[in-house]
Amino acid sequence: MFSDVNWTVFFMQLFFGLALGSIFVLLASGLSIIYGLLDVVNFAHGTFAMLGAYAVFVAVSLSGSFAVGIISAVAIVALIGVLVELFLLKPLYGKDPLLPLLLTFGLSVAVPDLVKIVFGLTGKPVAYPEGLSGATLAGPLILSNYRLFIIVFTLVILISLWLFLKKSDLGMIIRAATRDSLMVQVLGTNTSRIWTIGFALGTGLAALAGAIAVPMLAATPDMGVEMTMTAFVVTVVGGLGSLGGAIVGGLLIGVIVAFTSLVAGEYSNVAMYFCMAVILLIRPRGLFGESGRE
Amino acid sequence: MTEPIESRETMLRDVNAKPRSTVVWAAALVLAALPLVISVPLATDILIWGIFGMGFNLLLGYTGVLSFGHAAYFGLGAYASGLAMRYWGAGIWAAIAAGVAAPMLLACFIGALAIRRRGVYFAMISLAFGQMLFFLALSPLKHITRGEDGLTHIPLAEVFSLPLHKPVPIYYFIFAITTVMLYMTWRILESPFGRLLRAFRENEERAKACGYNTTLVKFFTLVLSALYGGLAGALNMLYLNYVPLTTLFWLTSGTIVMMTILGGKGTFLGPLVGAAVFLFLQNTISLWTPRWELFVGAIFVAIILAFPGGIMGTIRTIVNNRKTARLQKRAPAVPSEG
Amino acid sequence: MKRKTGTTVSRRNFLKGAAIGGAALAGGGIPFIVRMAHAKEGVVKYGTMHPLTGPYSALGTDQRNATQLAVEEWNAKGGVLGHKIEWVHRDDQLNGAVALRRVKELVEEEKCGFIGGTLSGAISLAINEFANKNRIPYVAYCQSDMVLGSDQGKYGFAFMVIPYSAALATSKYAFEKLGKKWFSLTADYRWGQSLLEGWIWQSQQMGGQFLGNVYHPLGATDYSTYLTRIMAAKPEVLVMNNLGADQTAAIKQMSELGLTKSMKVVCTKTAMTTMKEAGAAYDENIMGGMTFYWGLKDKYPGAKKFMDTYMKKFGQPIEQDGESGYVATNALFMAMEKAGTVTDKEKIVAALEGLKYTLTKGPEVVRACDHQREQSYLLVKGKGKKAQGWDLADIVAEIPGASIIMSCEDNAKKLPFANVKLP
Repeated sequence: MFSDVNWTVFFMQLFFGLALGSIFVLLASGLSIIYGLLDVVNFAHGTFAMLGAYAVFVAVSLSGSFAVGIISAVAIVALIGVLVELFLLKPLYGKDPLLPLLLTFGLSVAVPDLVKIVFGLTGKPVAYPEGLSGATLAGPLILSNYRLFIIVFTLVILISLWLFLKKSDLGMIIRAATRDSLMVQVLGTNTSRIWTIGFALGTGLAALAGAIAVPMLAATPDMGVEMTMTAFVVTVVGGLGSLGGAIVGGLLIGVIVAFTSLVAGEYSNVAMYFCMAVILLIRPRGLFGESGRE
Repeated sequence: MTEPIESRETMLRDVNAKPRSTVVWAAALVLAALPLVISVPLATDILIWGIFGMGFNLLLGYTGVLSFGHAAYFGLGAYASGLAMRYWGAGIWAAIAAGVAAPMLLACFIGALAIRRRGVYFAMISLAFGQMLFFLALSPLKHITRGEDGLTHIPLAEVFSLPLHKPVPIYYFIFAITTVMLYMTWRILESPFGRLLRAFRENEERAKACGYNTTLVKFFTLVLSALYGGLAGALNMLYLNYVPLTTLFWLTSGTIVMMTILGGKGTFLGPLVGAAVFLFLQNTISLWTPRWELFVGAIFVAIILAFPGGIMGTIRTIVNNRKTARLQKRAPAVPSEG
Repeated sequence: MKRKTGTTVSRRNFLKGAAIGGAALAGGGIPFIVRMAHAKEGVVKYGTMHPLTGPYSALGTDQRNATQLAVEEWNAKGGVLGHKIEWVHRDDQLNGAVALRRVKELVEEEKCGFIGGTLSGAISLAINEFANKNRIPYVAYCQSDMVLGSDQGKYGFAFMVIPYSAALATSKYAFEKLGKKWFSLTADYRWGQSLLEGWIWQSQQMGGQFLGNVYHPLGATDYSTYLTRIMAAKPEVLVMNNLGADQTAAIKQMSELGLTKSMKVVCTKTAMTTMKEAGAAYDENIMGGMTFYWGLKDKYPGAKKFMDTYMKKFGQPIEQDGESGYVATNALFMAMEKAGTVTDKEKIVAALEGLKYTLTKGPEVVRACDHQREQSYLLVKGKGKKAQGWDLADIVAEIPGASIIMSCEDNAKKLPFANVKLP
C-alpha cells in the first residue's frame, strides 16, 4: 500500500507542516505571553507581525543583510509595543477586561492605513537571504533551505526563551507575575514595568514571525489579519496563556494544514478551524490550558 | 467627595432611569423622518445595522459577553432566507422566519460549546467559529452558497403589494420591523428577565451570589441576540436582493462591535446611535480620503480610552451625575440609611 | 526615484483629505450624504465604484484615476454633445454588501444615469443584475462572467476580457511554445475555475497533457504544502489561476525551491503590483497574461498618447484594470455621441452595441450580441533582478482578440466550457 513515493510525500509534507507550524508557534507564543502576564488578548498581534515585515523590508533595503533585518524588526516593533503598552493599555488595567481587546482591535483597523500612507498601497518585496535559497537533498526528500532555517531558528528562539524564563532573574519574575502578579507586587517588585517588558516581548515575537515569513510572501498592509486569526486558533487549541500549548498547538495546526492541502487543498483553511472545534468539544481549556483560566 | 462608595451606588441605582416607553416612540419618530434628512440607502443601512446592534448589545452590554463572531448569525440569516427564496420559492415571511431560526440554532450550538468560557476566551472562540463558517461558505459549500459570487438572482419581493426593491417602500418596511424590535427590546428589558439582565450589567458577581444561573442567562441572551442578527441579515438580503459572501466575513463582526461600543454598550439607544454615527463617518470620510479606516480606528481607540461608555453611556453618566448632585443638594440633612 | 513620488502623492492626498474631512465633520457642507443631490438639467451624470480600501486598493486607485482622466479629457473637449459630465465615485471596499448599497446611493440619490467600475467579478455580477432590473447602463471594468449565460443582460457591458478568453489566450501560447504537459494551481472560486475550464478545453483541442490540478483557498498564504504534488507531477508548464497576494506568495515559494527554473510558470492573469511584490522572484521563467501593459506604447500611437498623459498626471504607469476603465468610460461617451442623445438609455445601449473605436490598442469593437469588448491579450515575461522602477516585464506576444473569443451562440450558453469536467 505505501510505496516509497508515498513515504517521500509524507515526509515532505511533514517537513513543510513543521516549518509552517514554526511560524505559528512564534506568533502564538507571543500572544500567550501577553495574555498570561497582562490578561490582554492582543487583537493587533498580526498587525505587529505586519510591522515586523515592513521593518525587515526597510532594514534589508538599507543594509542588505537579512540578519540586520530580523534584529531591527524585533527591536523596532518591541519599542512600538512598549509605547502602546505605556500610553494606550496602561490606562485600561483594572477596568473591564474586554477593553484592552477592543483597543487593540481599534489599532488593527487604524495601523494598516498608516502603513498604506507611509509605504504606499503596493506591497514590498523581501528577497530570500543569499545563503538560504535553494534546497538540500536528503535522500528522496527535497528540503528547502529556508524552511530548514525557519525550523532551526524557531528552535533556537524557543530554547533561549525557555532559558530566559527559567534561569534569569527577570524571567523568574515574569513567570511569578504570570502566576500571581499581586503577590509579586507585594514582595516589592514593580509589576508595572514587568508588564511593559512582557508586552514588548510578546510583540517582539510577533515581529519575529512576520520577519521570517516575509520572504515567502511580501510585506503588505493587510497581511496582519490572517496572522491574528491563526494565532487565535493556535492559542485556543494549545490553551490560552500556556507557552507549551502554543508550541504544540502551532506545530499541530501546521501539520494538519499541510496534510489537508495534500488531500483536499480547498479545505486547508477550514481544517484549522475544524480542529479547533473538535478540541473545544473534548477538552475545552485547550491541550495545555490550566483549568480555571479558560 | 468623601461619601462612602456603597451609598453612592445605591443612590445611582435609583436615579439610573429605566428606558421609558416614550423613548421607543421618540426613536421611532426620528427614524420615520430620517430619509427626509439623509440619503435613503444610508438610512436603510442604519436601520439594518441598528437591529443587528440591538441584539449584539443585549449580549455585550448586559451580560458582558463579547462575541467577535456575530457575522455568523448575520450571514447565516441572510443565506438561510436568501436560499429559501431562491430555491424553494418561499414567501417573504417564510424567508424571514428561516433567516431567524437558523442563526438561533447555530447560537444554541456555539453557546452549548463555549458560553461557559471566560470573556476574552469566548471572544476568540466565537471569532474562530465565525471564520469557520466563512470558509465553509467560500469553498466546501460553494455549490449551495455559490461561494465568492454570493447569492444572486433572488426573486424580487413584495409585501402588501408594495414593491420592496424600491428605496422608499423597503425603508418603511424595515422601519416598521425596527420599531417592533425596539418595542420588543424595551419589553424584554422591562420583564423579570430584563431586570435580571440589568442586575447583571451592574454587578455580575452579585447576581451570581443571589443564586441566579449566570451561564443559563448568558446562553439565552446569546440565542436571543442571534435572533436579532438573523433578522438583520434577512432584511439585508431583502434590501440588496443579494447575499454577498462578505456578510459572513469577520469584518462584519468587527463593524458591529465598533458600532455598539461607539454608541454605548448597555444603553437602550446606543446601538442605533452607534450604527448611525459609524456609517455616517464612514460615508463622509471616504468621500474625502480612501483612508477612512485610519480615522474610524483612531476614533474608536479614543472612545475606548476616554469614554468607554460610548456616546449614549457618556450622556447617561453626565445626566446621572447632575441628578445625583441635585439630590444631594436637596436632602443634605437626611441621615443615610445604607 | 519613482517610489518617492507615489508616497508624496498619497501623503498629500491624505493631508488634503484630513483637512477637508475635518472641515466636513465640523459641520460644513456635507454633500452627497445629506439629501442635496438632484438630477441637474443638461448634465451627464456618471457614477463609479472602486475598491479603494482592502488588499486590491492599488488596482482600485488605478481605476479611479483612469476614469478621472477620461472624464477630464471629455470635459476639456466641451463634454458630450455639449453636455458637461459630472462624475462621482465611491469606495466599494471590495465588499459586495457595501458595493450594492453604494450603487443604490449612486442611482437613487445621486441620480446617476450611468454606472461603471468594480474590480471583483463577483460584485460585478450583482451590480449587473441590479443595473438590468433598474435599466441603468453599466460598464464593468473587471474580468467578469456577466456577459455569459443567464447573467447576460441588456444593460451590462464588460470591458475587460472574460475569464475564458484570458485562459484561451495564455494556454494557446503555452501549448505552442512552452510544452504540452501542464499542471495547475487554482484559487478555489468561480473565477479560478472558469480559467481552469478554459485551459482544460484548450488542452483537449491542442493535444495537451493535463497532469492534475490543486485548489487552494482564496487568500492562502502557504503554498509549500501544495508544491509536493507539483514536484511529483513534473510538468513542463505550471499554470497559476490566482491573483494578487496569492500569486505573489505562490511565485515566491516556488522560487524558494528552485521550481521556477525547472518548469515554466504561466499566470493566466497577472499584474504589475504582483511583479513589484514578488521582486526578483518574478523572473524570465514566469509569464503572465494582461490586457494592457504600458510597454505597448512603442507599438500603438494611442497607447503612447494615453500613457504619456497618464504618467504626467499620476506619476506612474497604469495597470490593465485602469486601462479598461479608461476605455469603458470613453466608449460610453462615444456611444452617446453616436446615438446623438445623453438621456435616451435605450438608444445609448444600442449605440454601444457594435461600437468601433481605436483608443489604447489596435482597432476594437464592443460586440453587439454579448456586450463584451473584443480585444487582444498580452503575454509578458518578468525581468527578475533586471527590473527597474516600472520597467518590470517584456511583452512576449499579443494574441489577437478574434482568436480567443467564442461565438455569440456559444457564449449565450457558456459553451463549450460548461461541458468541461473539472477535477
